[in-house]
Amino acid sequence: MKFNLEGLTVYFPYEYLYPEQYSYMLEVKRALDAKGHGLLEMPTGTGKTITLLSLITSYQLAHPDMGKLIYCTRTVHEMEKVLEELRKLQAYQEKELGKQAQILALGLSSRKNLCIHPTISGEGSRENVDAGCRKLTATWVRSAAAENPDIELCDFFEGYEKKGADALLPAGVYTLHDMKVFGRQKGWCPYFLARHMITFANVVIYNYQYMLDPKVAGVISRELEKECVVVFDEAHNIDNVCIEALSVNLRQQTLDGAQRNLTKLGQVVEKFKATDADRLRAEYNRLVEGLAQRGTLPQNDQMLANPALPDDILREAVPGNIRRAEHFLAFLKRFVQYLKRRMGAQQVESEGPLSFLDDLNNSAGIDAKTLKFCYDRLHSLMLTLEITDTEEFHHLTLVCDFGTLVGTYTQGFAIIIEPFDERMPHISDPVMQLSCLDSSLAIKPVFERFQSVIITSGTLSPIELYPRLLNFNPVTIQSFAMSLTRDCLCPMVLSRGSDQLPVSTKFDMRSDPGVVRNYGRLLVEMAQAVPDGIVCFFVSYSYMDAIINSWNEMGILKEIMQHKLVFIETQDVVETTLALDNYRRACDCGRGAVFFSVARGKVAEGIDFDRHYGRLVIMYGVPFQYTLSRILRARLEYLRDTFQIKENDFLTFDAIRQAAQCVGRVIRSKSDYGMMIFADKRYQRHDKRSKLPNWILSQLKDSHMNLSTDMALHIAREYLRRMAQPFDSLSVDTGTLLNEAALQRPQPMEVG
Amino acid sequence: MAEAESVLLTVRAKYKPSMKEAGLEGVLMLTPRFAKWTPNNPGAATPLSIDFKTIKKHFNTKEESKKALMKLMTDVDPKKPGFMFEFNSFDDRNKANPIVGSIIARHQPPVGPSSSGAAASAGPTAPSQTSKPSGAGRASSQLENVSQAEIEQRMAVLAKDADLRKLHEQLVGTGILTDAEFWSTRKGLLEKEAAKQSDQKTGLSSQMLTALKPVVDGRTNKVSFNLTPQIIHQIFQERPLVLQRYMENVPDKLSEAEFWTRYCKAEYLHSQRRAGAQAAVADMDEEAEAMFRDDDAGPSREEQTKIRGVDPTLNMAADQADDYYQSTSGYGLLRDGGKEAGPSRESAKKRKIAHDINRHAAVVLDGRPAGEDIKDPAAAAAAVNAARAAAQLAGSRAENGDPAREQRWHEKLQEATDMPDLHPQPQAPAVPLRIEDPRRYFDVSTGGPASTSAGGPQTDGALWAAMREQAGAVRTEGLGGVLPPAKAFQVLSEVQQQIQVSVASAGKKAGQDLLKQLPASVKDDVFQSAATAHEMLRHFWGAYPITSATLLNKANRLKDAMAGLYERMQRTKEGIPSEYREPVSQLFKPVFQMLDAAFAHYESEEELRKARQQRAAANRPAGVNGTAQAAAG
Repeated sequence: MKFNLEGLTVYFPYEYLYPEQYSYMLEVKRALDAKGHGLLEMPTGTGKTITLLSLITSYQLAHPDMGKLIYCTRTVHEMEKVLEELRKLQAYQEKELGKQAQILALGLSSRKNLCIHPTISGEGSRENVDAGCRKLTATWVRSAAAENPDIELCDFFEGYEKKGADALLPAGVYTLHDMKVFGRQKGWCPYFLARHMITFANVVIYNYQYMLDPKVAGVISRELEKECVVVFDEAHNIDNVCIEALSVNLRQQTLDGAQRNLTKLGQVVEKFKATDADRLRAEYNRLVEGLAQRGTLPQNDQMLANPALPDDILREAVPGNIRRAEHFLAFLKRFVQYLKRRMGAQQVESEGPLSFLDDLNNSAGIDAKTLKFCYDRLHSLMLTLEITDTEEFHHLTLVCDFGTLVGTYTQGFAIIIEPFDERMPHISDPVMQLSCLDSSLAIKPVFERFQSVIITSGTLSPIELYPRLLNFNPVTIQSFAMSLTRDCLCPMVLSRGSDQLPVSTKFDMRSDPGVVRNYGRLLVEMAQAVPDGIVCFFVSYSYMDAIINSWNEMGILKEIMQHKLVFIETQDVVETTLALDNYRRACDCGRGAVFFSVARGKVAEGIDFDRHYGRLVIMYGVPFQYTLSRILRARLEYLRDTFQIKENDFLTFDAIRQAAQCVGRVIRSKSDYGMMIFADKRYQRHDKRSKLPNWILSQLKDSHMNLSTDMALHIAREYLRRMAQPFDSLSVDTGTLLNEAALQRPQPMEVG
Repeated sequence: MAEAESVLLTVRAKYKPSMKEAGLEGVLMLTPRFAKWTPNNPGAATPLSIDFKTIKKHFNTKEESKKALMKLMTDVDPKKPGFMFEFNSFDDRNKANPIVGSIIARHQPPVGPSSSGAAASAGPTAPSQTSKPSGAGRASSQLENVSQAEIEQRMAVLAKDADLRKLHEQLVGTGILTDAEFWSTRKGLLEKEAAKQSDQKTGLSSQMLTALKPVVDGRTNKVSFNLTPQIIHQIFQERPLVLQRYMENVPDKLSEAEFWTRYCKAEYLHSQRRAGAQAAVADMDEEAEAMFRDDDAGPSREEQTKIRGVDPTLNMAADQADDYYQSTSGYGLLRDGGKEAGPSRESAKKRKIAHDINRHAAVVLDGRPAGEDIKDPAAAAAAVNAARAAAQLAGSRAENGDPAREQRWHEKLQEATDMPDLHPQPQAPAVPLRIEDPRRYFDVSTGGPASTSAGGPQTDGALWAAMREQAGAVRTEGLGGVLPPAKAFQVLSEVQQQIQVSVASAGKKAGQDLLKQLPASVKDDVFQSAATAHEMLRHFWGAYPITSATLLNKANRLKDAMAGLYERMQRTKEGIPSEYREPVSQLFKPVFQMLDAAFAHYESEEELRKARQQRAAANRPAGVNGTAQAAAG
């Protein structure tokens, strides 16, 4: 349908529109009109993605001077879904408008996901593929190959390079798979082609980190224009991503590896001195003249960029004491020695960057300013020495990252040295973590650089907290309710087992066999009553492991298996993916299955359990963070001191948003339906419950609270019977669906 | 060789040396022995003359497809090249198809019922005469479009059911019914048979390996395990490592029994560990456990192949490549409050119950391959290995762009992104009831004579008048036409008496007793006759209303057969010993009644038809369109 939204013609690929989609578009449009930022909470299952895409592309059509849409997703599979929706929208717009509506949209991922080189693409991790690629595409390798035909190059990269700037993608929507197919067809490297095409694209979809992490963004997103609109979808965890983007951790292995790297670098420097001393001298001169930074490097030589935010990088000459390669290596050696000594601490140490630097200066004679240049200097050296094996030097890079960050930031960071993990005190595993405490730091340049940033998710409650956490002023801040034709959500709070004893995952209760049994009985009963898929979320992997073991011994697992197959998320991503795939197959073929998953895990973050893939979600317990974590404590302190956010408020907020995120995965449209059981007596309390998003709370009836297992079972049976009736969705009259005519009515007729 | 010269069909058709080429224009002639093709342009190609003796099969493209193609195969394997012809239209192709089919069938050696699946699916026009259990010579005259598979199903059904076989012999064997007519009422039986023949996967129980619970005898300190070949098969499927060790060690290094003893020891140790009884296992055989410990922590090759086939909406493995904050990378936080320590080196190796459960569920979901009966461990190992190799092969083939898989991905993506309730709702699918000639429909259902006696079709007006009349009667007489009490009582007592009588006789189970009295031979005869009569009656009534000559023919034929049966039953009745005559005549009574009803109907229909013919004959000279009238009548 096509309709007029306050003077903007919006193209929407469906015949009907939910009213909340309409108001959502209105808010986004106002934010775009005002060239400001927006913070919008919209329930899952109301077509948030298509609404956003539809509005912004329509806006682009109406305002050709507007920049691209940068759509950030959490995961690759979400990226695929967004591209699919975009393709649908695009087809519709082209039908309506013809050629002028053609756009170029593409997803961008790492080399690992885009490489089509027959051997390199098969290599295990991202780092391996990156290094493998560099070995075949680095400038010096290619120039050497020009003289020596025995040196192996990547045919696809050469094909792409030969075409130069003419290597262009025709307009269209490209998923990662499409890019690879296109690359194979043309003999061009899809990865570099995609990077090249960002400049021409109307819509770019990539991971958060490509925008938020200065290391990656410095390479990928440097040249994006100010007029771009940036969207962060599923942004409920955005503060955590921001914090991770500026944090580094060092382990014993890292330091050992760094030491080895230094020895190796020393050897290479010696070799160069003997054979090609000019090169080192040239580098020295360059460093004297000005920046260590290379200006514009060819794409194929780029490595991860400076870990500090662009505004904080000093644009001046590298200090004299590290200009010479051997001096720099000696400097790093001292630094690594110092870190090793600190790592040997027997107790937990926690300090700010200032005191760390002070100590560093006193005991190793290293000052903050020199430390700041650490990363750029190493980068320059590695380029000079023509090192392609970046993976091998990962350890040293990490140490330099650490140094640069410590040298740059004195506020909002903490250095925490732990000799062992407190959850496993018997295993010695010392870690030195440089933790960013302030989530507003990493996102600040994004807010400043781009004219509109839209942050959106299904769970942003309480929504007032986010502007404080991220320290920005949205022009529009809104939480939308959900208009329902029928009760497609059925949340329940279960506080007691069938024996009327309370259930909870509170620390003192979680290992109580009675609670474990009650939790198990709940699942057994539900597995009998609920068709197709059931998803269970636990508070942590260790708790899940323990409870599965107990259920196995109690025979509860056996009983569940009589009704449904059981699949379990593990920390191994490959295994989990296969388990999920099998879970879906089991639901598809009608056998029915139960999926055990973990709140804050990978599955909770991005996998949908819509339709028959999830008719019931059980959230076992309240997924609080591990409150004794040093980093968490440091962060809570910082939040209290800087933003006046109370510790308990933050912890509850964090736990409830995770829980809401887990249960929110069950529906994807209003014709879908699902039940949610919060199985913990603590959800009964107002302070916890009230932090749930409004669209869940409004469906939570008083009669569905404080339930025991048998009552919940009764409600579930009734509910399923009701929802299994055919869905008569012709509900335009009830106001939960709008068609073109309904949209035109209150509007003035289109002007142009 | 007059036969060889007779041309059965001549059509325009292109000859295509291969699938890709456009084909050469030409003319295809079919004779009983050769398929001859001559190009329009004599220089373009040499004319073809294909001997049908060399042709094993022929293939057709479906009607929905773009081109009307026919392929004559010189080999059963569809991948081998053959002769491909493209027809100008499907009509041309459909003319040629039955001819080619029957010719090929004639040239082929008769296919026995033992030849299975491959031949069965061969062609839609496999020979029908070879499989007729009776009347082989007769049936060859009619070209029935029956597949070999269906014929086999028919044979299988007959072989199982002796009564049906007798019936078949009596009706089809004597030519009263054709084979097709006989089976058309028994589609259900055939379908059931077909379902049995198809390779449906047998499900597996979703129980975990409970059978491997140790049995403790209580007196000694012994635990014993029971392993059956089925359990071993399941172990191999669920634990590739055990299979691998088995292949490595048995029978060269360890004997069968030794291997499984070790396995059981390891299992026992493991279960004890899991239960936390460290002390109890301290002195156990560590070596046994070491054998079944997985040292290879990374994803296996099998997993890697599988992960490529996973649809992109849930491929979390792809995320890893975009995630810079993994626990091993050093970026991001390692011990945040929201994070758990990643699997340490020790714990990763430890076999967790979660792995077992996932693996088990995957095996259950795949099901057991059909028709497999595992007798011994070696066979089980071989079977599992073969299945795994096949899966690997399929997986690696799929790597190089598999259109079917991409299609499936695309569907999944579509499903995952679509908002079904925002689409306009399609109208519920319904076929509108359209009766072209309502009079005919209603006349038939109320019985022909009624309408003719009314002197032609009733008009709406007449109906309306009749209704008015009735309504008027009610108004004048009121609803007070109630029976006088005396009469009502009389009726009531009469009904009651009847009920009492029937209750009394039902108590004696008269019907059953009748049958029990009869000797076996007589009983069989009675059953047989009744069954035949029922079958004939079913077909007889099925022939009405008679709309075509074949139906008329069938009705006549059946009537004659029924008359014969009637007489035979009469004779049977008279021929049996006198003490049984009474019960048999009781049993035959309803059959005779039914047959009588059929005869009566036949007579009346026959009269009607004659009258109609006369009318038609009378009308024809007058130049009126007689057929329409006849149909209306």
